[in-house]
Amino acid sequence: MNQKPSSPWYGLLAEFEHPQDLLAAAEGAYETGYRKMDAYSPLPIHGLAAAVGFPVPIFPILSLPAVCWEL
Amino acid sequence: MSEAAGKSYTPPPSELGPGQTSHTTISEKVSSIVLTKSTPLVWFCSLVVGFSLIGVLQIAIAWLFYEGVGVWGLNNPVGWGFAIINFVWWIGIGHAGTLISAVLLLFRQKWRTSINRSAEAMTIFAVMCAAMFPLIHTGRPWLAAYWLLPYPNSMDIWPQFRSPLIWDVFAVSTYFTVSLLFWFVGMIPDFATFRDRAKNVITQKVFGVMSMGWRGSAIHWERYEMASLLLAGLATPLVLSVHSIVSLDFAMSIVPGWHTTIFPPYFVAGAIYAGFAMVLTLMIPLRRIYDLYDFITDRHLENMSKVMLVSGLIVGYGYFMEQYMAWYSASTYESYMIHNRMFGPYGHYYWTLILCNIIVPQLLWIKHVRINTLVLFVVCMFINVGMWLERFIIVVTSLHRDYLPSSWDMFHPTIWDWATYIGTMGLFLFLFTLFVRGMPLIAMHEIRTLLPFGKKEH
Repeated sequence: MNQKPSSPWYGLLAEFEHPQDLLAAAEGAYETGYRKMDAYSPLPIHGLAAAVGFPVPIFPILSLPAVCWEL
Repeated sequence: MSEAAGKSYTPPPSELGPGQTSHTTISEKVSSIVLTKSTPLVWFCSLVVGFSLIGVLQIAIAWLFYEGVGVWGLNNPVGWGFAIINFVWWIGIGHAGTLISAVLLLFRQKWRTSINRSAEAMTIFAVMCAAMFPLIHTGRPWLAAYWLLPYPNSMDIWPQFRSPLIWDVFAVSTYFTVSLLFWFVGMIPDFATFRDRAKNVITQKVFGVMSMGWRGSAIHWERYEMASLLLAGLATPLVLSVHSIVSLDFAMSIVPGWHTTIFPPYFVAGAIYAGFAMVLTLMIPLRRIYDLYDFITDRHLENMSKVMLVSGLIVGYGYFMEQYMAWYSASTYESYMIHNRMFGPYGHYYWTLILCNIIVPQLLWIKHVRINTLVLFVVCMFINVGMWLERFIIVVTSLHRDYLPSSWDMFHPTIWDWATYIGTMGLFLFLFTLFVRGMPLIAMHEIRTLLPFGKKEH
């Protein structure tokens, strides 16, 4: 998460007990301005990918005109 | 999952048993079946039985290829025998897996999560057994590429596209591809759990390759959920289309008893009926051997029994409609076919069928039967046999006496017919036994979403 190479910190790790906490932390970190983030979980958590700032997947957007073209 | 956001979510009481309270207990329980050195004795017995029957299958097929399809009990009016009966039986069994994994996923039926993985495995193996019959019934399967697939060749040999048999080839190969992808994609997060829990380097490597670099990242889950939803969307129409097309093998012809419009829905209901009976036939011993009572609860047995009851009643309606139409059509051939089916030389098969598929399953109205595993297992066995008899009745009684009495004949299955049929059961048992020991039997990551998060312990 560090932006400056001179900093002694390489990154930060945190563990959360509950999916809601992880989701809240991810949203909070994103709002604070952090961008190079990832979140790991043993089960799917709805909205987590958007919370850590993963972009909207481009493939479905590309495939829609392709499908329309075929029709 | 949407439950993650709502803090007040508590699952219905009987989705999981009381023993499963945290992510750790779930992973431990499911991994302990695979990541262990101790294997139950009954597993080895099942493997040996399955493997021996594969030997029988190999002998039967070798003799068939050497001698030709004449080794089967086929004759001139009955040109379709065990090969098509067994094909339809196996394909039908596969349908329950797809219904559980795809249709119940789209309907957000949470209870499906503990049985979907093994039901999907059942689908894959049943379709493999089924697909073998169209191949070997050609007698010369190395030439089947010309007969079954539109393979461009200099001899200009093409399959007959107006024949439902070629539709079958496409329907079944699509079905197999989608089911296999769905099954594999669903297992990727669980393979990763095995990889992380494995102590042995080889096990780590094998599951590492199979988990395809799964780390459980948020983006992985996002993609994973989208992929499962799309595959479920693709698989859902297949639940209806595959067995409809199988039924068109019959309904497109003009043979009395086959040429009816009720066949597609009646076959689909029968497929679900047979499939759920087979799921229960597998689950009841499995949960006993591996002590999976917390995952496959009485509620699962009850729900599956209710599905069987409904689909069984639809099948019963189909039988009634066949008789009604034979009378209402005022066609001599149709009414003779039904009379011959009920009171002719194969009459005892018909009444056994009615006993197995209509009378015995009425026990499922009783709650005690639905949750009594022994009685339920016996009822499922009746249905398994009954659904096979149904296909036997449809194929044989319509063919053996058709329009011309001079060409009437009886069909007597030979030992090679039975050997091939029993052999595919062995193949199925063998593959399923290997699956139980080597792959995640229960979808761990889906079960984890059933836990109430507030009560999580570490």
